[in-house]
Amino acid sequence: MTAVRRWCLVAVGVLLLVATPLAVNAWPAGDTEITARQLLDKVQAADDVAYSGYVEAVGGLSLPTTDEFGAVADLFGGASRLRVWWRSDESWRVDRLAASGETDLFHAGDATTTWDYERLTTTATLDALVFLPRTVELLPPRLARLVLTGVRPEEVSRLPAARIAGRTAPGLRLTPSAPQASITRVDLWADAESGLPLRVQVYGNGQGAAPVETSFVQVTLDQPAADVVAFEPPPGSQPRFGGVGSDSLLGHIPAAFESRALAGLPRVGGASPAHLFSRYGRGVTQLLVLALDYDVSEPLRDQLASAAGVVVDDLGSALAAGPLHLRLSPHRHYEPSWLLVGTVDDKTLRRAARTVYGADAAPAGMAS
Amino acid sequence: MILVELRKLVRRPRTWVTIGLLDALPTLVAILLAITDLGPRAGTGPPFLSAVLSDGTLFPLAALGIVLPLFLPVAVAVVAGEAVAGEAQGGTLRYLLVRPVGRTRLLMAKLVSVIAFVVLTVVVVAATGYVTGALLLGDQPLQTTLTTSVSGSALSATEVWQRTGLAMGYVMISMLGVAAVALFFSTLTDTPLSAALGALALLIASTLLLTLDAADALAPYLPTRYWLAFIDLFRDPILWRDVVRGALQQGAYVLVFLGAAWANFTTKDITS
Repeated sequence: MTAVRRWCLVAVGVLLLVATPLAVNAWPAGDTEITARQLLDKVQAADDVAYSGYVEAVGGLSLPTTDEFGAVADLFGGASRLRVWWRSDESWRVDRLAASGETDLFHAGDATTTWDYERLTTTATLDALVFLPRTVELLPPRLARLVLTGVRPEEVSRLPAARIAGRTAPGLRLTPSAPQASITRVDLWADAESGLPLRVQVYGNGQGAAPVETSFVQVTLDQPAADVVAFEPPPGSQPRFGGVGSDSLLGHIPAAFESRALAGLPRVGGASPAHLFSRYGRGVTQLLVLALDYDVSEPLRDQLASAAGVVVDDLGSALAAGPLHLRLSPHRHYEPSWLLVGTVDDKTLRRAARTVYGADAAPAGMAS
Repeated sequence: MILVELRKLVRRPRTWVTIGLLDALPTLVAILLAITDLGPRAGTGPPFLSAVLSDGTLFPLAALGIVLPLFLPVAVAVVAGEAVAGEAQGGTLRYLLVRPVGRTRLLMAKLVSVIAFVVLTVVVVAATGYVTGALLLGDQPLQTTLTTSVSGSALSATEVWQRTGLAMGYVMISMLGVAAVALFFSTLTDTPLSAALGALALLIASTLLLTLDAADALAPYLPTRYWLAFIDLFRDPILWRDVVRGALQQGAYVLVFLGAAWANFTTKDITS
């Protein structure tokens, strides 16, 4: 064999090795005849589907990194590798993998146990009414459930199917109709057979790339074994009780804002039982109003003062991170600070802030 | 031919000096940890290093984690880079090929010799790690025979041994790509140093590209991408995804670069 033939042989080998995985990934998925409405119904009916798999998520949101909100900023501001075993809403496990360890959530009933390998700590918490987002919120089925709540049939349209984690997944596009929306569209793909959402992309105002994308790269639709989602503290580890949601804001909310509507958005779910928060909006257009005490608001205010892209005006400090907008009221002595956060545009947030700050000085119940 | 190369490897003092130097760093780390009782902060440092303070049986893995990113590939690149170029530089390659030995067989024998070096090094580093870990590290009671997995579950001594064996095997496989690349460069030049530096340049480029989001599409093809996946063997259940991909990727590197070495070496003019 001549030298030229030998090198040709090597070149063909290289080509095959490089091109084979690319070709497999690019292989088109066979589409189905399902309509957008039918697919929406199928996805919304897939809440009880059990599954396990491996998820990769990427968040492009630059959130302030205070002690209270650092985990959230980390979650939505970078890449995450997750393993999940989901038996039901009451029994699941989500591991967030790191190069030298992992942080796991084990959920049973209304309690969640967090295992952190790098700190060798076990923390048990009871679920709270208001809590900061955790890794579980990055799972495609959970994020899809969140964005599809309250969606109207006329807001959805079909997207071509894609092959995700080896499964055929017809696509659905949600285009919010609310004028206050800062999320321009949500694209999701769900398993053709079960309706389980396999990939979700959330697009904000004026951004080309998806600020938040989460997708299965491996998925199995079998019921995970019970022992996989059960957690026994390792020998020598003393479980710590983190109270009613150590990651919650329950203990920090000193006041409440009550109104049937805010900035043109209706209140969701009536008054909150413990007057902890007020939620307004529909579907992916949501606005949350929280009153924060000094211990929470001041570190956040300090962080916002030094964060890039923060605007300080007469209505406090405002930050936009992709489609997520937040506004913290100016500091006032002996009064709680108001945090308004949601997927609404800045104009809506300013309008809401004027109403809330005014209501702060007036008796609760003043509506816009 | 293979036996000749293996004998040469074992008898060469340089082999043992290299292994000794590789072994020195984890041993020094174990001594420092034992004296200071200060582990790395959470999320920093090599895998398992923070855990060895309470469980010394994990130190073989920490030792492998210490040498894997830099020192082991440097040693492999030096040994593999020297395989053919060293013979050429010493003027012995001509005489080696005078014997009725095919060049392909010679290449295979050189590769087997480099693999044997990797196996020897990994075994020695892990064994030393076990001894130093058992003697110097770990504050849990002696009667405790269970080890905590990365996922928080308890692993029996048998499971720890099995998984440590798998991790050692995976680290050995991870070095095959470096060996094949350095061996290819070794057929291109008469200077062993150039061959070793060529392979190291590829590894440094790979490590750098892995830190860039813009190079995400290249990541599955980069030789260092799956090196640290051996930690996945200590998750519960074991996460095989990256381990399997890493092994397949190293196999592909061996196929390509050994093929290139073969294409180049079989008709190369040997002048030294």
